[in-house]
Amino acid sequence: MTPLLRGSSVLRFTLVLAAGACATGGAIRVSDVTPESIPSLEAERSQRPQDAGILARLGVAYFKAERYGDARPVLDSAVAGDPRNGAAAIYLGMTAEQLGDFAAARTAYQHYIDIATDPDLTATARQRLALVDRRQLEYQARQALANEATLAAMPPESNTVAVMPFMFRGTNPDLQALGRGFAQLLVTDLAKSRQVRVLERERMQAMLDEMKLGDSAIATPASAVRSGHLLQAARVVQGALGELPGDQVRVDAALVDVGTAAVQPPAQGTSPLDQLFDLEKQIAFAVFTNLGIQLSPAEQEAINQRPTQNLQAFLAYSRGLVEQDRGDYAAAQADFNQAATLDPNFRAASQSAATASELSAATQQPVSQVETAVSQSSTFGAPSPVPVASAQAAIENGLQSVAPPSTALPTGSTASTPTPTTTRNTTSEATQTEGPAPPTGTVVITIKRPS
Amino acid sequence: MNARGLTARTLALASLVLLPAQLVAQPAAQGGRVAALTGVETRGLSFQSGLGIKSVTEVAVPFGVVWTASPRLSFDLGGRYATANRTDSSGSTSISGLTDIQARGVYQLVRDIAVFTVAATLPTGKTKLTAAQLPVAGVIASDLLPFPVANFGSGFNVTTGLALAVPVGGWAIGVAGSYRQNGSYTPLADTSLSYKAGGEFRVRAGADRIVGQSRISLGFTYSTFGEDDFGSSPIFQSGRRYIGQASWSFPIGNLGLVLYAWDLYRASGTVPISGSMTEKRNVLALGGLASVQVGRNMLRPQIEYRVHSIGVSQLSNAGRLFSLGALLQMPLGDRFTLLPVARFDAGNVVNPTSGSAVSFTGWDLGVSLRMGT
Repeated sequence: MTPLLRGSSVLRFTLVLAAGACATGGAIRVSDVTPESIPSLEAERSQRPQDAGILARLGVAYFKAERYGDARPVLDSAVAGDPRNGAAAIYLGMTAEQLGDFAAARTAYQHYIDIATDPDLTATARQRLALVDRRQLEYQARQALANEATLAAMPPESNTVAVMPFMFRGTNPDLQALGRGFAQLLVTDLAKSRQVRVLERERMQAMLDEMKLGDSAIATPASAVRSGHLLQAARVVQGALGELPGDQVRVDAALVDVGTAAVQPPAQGTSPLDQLFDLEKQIAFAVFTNLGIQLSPAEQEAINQRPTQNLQAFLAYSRGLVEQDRGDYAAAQADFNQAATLDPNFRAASQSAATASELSAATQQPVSQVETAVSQSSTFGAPSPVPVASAQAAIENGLQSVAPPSTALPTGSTASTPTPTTTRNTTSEATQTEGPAPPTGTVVITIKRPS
Repeated sequence: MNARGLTARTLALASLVLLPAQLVAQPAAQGGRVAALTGVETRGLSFQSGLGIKSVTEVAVPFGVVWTASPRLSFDLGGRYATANRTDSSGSTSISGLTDIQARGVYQLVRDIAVFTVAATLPTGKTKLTAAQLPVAGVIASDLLPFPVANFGSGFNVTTGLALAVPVGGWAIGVAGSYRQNGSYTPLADTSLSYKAGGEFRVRAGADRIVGQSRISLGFTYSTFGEDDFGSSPIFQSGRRYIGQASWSFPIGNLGLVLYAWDLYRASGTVPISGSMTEKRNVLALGGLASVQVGRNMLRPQIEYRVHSIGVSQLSNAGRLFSLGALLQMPLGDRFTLLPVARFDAGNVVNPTSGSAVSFTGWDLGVSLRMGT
């Protein structure tokens, strides 16, 4: 066999090898990336530090190795470099969740939901999103308590109002949950004016849970002032809903000024139970008056809307809020569903049922289980083998040939293409002995001992 | 060997033995990432008759350490131990020994904008060659035929360089300049006279641009040299060198492809005593390489074609080289990567005396182990 024919055999072998590699085709499965991938991915990153695909895979590998601190900046860069990389986004969410950075986790999950195409993973991201919202409220409450002295010395935000859960004063257990439902109605109505910023009911509840106050303590103006400082709310609505004979209810809603601890005379009202929604509107308008807010006709019209006219549906909804505040999301979901069934137009109930469903699913699945599901069902998409043009690429391009590295570590990266030898071989050059051919040139430099 | 050379070599050897182990042992938590590499590289070429040479083989053991001390500062150090052997009708001649070791520091003055480098070549390599060994050193120094070790040693030198990146429109432009100051070394075994290569000034401009899904990269390097002295007398003025490079990277599915070309032109050198000119040389290379993920491994096949030209007044064909090979990047556990490589070469070299082209075939087999992060 001639050398050329031997060469063609090797050529055929290599082409078959390359074709076989290509035939593996397509996207890289996330499950193929393991902690053992880290060294090679780090080597690739050193060659192509801006390659979002490499960064995504490295971040996932770090996550799987439980190196969340390493994974976070890598995945941040991966998502920034390729906002369409869903795997990077959802792993960034899980990483931030593991690190307790719920705000970042929320942003990442929301980003994933915005770009995702996989319905199952989108549902998973929604569940995580609902849970990190809840965790973030708890975290913020703990942080506020840890910094209570500082917050107490700070002036609260002037147009911010928080609503405490209304105390129920009565004996009928079926009505017990109305205190939460009534507070939620009031929050919803106050939020319809652009002239005031109303904190979510859940935020207040998370704070009260962290403060670990008993029912009697919650009802005091001192608790309103303290929670207002912790939430940086200028005013706090604090009230009670009382059961009266003859299916009557009475509502008292006081407005507490957090800065001065002054309590304005409470807005009061009494009505039959089946006219509770009218009573709530009456209280809401009174609170606006006490806040010194002049409502526009449009705001008044919006506030006058009733989310439901069905008292039984509202009672079920209120029970759902109580269960949700307890963390029993399955029970909350059942109550919200019941409310939505009793009044299909009760949108707050159906929305709360969906959120409770997500929270129920999310709390039953730790991040490790979620990661397993994500890993098995998602891909990175086709990796981009093309390095990005960047300042660093330009630096590397500039340094190439001018001050090349000492060790040609054969990473095989496509970032740097083969280059010719740039260093003079002085002895061979001066003696004109370069190459396999015999020297013939017109000049042969002789460097030998002078005779 | 003089005292200075002995001291430098001893120090370099000490650093070779001690430094990598110390660096590898250093935990990443102390602020640095360390990568080290070693392995075996083998290369062989077999020539048909007509050149007076039958075969050339080279076996090299590379070693290298890269220490990223901080995001802005990194150091690398590397060299090889090698044996090169040339066989002709009269027998075999070989050169064995350590090569020079290069140590380099890279500091980002302004991150991703300005980089300062200092590189020193430690004179650990074998420089004293007998007359019989000169052809061995010559064949591995060929521009046409790449060898793992093309030069066993050329004395101590220091290179300082500065690279800058400037965005211009859609282009990322890199410009760099360096100066290399050479020390003297003893090139021949039968004389104690020293050879001191002239200083080298090198500038380079590079440009990168993304076009759609692809990347275009261009580069141009220019080098000019001072006069070489032999025994304190000017003996040789190396010709200027020009390197042009271009590459186009683009994806096809999950396959990354790079098409590239480079050209190295070496202008004629001059001999000051006689004023005569040496041959000018040119190598043009055209190639392509791919990268494809195969499970956890990365396969990188490569193909290249080189054309070599030499001439005093006009360039004429001096040889051809066709190469086909592949590198496989195989992660092993948490901290190791195995890098086997195989390449096949075929081509010819023109005998300038007879004008006939002499065919050759060659192979390149190697395996490297990369450690650390």
